[in-house]
Amino acid sequence: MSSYKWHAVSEQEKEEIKVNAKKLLDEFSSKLQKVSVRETPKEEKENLRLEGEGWKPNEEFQEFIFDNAPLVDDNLIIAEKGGWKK
Amino acid sequence: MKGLQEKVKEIKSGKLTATKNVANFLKKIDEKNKDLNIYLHLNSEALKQAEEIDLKIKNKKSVGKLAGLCVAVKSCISVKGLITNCASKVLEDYVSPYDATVIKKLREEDAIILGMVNMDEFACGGSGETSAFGPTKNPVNTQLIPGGSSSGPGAAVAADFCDFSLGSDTGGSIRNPASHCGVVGLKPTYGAVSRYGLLDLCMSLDTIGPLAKTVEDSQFIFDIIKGQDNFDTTTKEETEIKIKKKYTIGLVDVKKYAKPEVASLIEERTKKLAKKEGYEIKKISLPLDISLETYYLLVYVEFFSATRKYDGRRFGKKIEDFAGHEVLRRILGGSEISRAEFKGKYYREALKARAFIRQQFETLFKEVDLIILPTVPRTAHKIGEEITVEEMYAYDIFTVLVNIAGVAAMSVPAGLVDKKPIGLQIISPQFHENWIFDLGKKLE
Repeated sequence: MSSYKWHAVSEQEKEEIKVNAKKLLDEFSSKLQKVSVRETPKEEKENLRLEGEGWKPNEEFQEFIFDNAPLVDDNLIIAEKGGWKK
Repeated sequence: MKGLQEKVKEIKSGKLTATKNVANFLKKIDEKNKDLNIYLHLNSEALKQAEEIDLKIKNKKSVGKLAGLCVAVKSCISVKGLITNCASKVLEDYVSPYDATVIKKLREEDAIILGMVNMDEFACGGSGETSAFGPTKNPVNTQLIPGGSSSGPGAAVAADFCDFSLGSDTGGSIRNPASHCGVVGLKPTYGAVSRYGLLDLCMSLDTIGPLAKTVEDSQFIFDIIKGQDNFDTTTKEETEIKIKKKYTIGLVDVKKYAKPEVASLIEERTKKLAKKEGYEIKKISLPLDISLETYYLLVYVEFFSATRKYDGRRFGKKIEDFAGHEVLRRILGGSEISRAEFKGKYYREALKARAFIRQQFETLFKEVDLIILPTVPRTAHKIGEEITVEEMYAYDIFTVLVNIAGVAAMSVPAGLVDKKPIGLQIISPQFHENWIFDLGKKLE
């Protein structure tokens, strides 16, 4: 038992979290095995959507995207592993 | 209490200005935010936007239904030009390049985005404590958690730091803080409000909804943000459902799961209302014994999938290197059970249980119009208090079924237990929010 406040997680704690999470999910899954259900897919025939126009990119959007990127070369984002460390 | 529609009338008539409204909130925020830790970022354009609205009013130009009202936005809903970091160091400096559809709709009605507010990191938590920028305090009692994951939106309304707020609800994240902070929180029907621009926790369960001081205010905001959006294919227009003179209410037996005083308070309030309005009450039960198991299996898998974009290559940092313990629990657990060798064991079981739960609700709503139960099973704990994962997850036991079934629900303040606010939860069939509003107003 511990406080739920945010803290940086060590590699050792990550391993513990992984093991405990799997244990918890195993318990959850085994409890659901007793559920019996006949699944009947439903088809919506009324209130169907009328699709409109799609998304249109603009220059301002591109500016924000490049500002958020760790590495940019001219008109490209360099999506390198660990790019944010540089 | 002055309602939002009345306040807009005052702004439009010149009795109050939008500028003054913004300035009043900024003053309170300046005085108390350092302690309460509600706002993460303020909108530096807020006063300028208010001046523009005042000028339009002065020049007798038409203004929107929300003219001059100030909204606080949970930090996982995209607001163009503002830092939308999900209270995580992973997205610490991430500036949203576009407005979520809900924000676009609010702006079109001349609402003013006051700022981005705190939350549990990536919406993983039910207490507001997992924010990487420190927990939000409950304005009712600053020693207590405000609830989560929409801790900031709940606390912002309770502290009078905004006119209303927007939160997201995947398993109770709007209703839980509404309950702990003594405000009204609406989780709309899945598909009633667009999720476009929401940084997702679990896309098959996520919804966006308002938190406000009254049911009427909540309805006012919901009517503006709802509707079909071509950027979210799960949305559709609501058909008009007429309110009823008499409702049959299903009162859920929660004694096995709730603190006795909480269960008694909700039962008393429901019986009192039914007697006054001449409603019939039927005792019912919900599949609460499998609610958390179904919910968390779905969330772990879908959250793991959703977080694959946080690889630090195009924006932000790698999530596995910078997230806190609850986010990592869901990623590492979700990664494990998503492996090919477990095909059919975890997520498939949860999908089967989800179908069962949906069928249970369909059957129940043939017998009753609305369902009532507490929002949370217990009162709020103290910030930093030691608590197990199971105890934390148990806060959600009465709220997660609503998301699994895709129906609508609202938390309305019901009273105090141990001097701490407790919410009463009203659940309706899909797209029957107006029944909830009708009943909620009678409960206030």
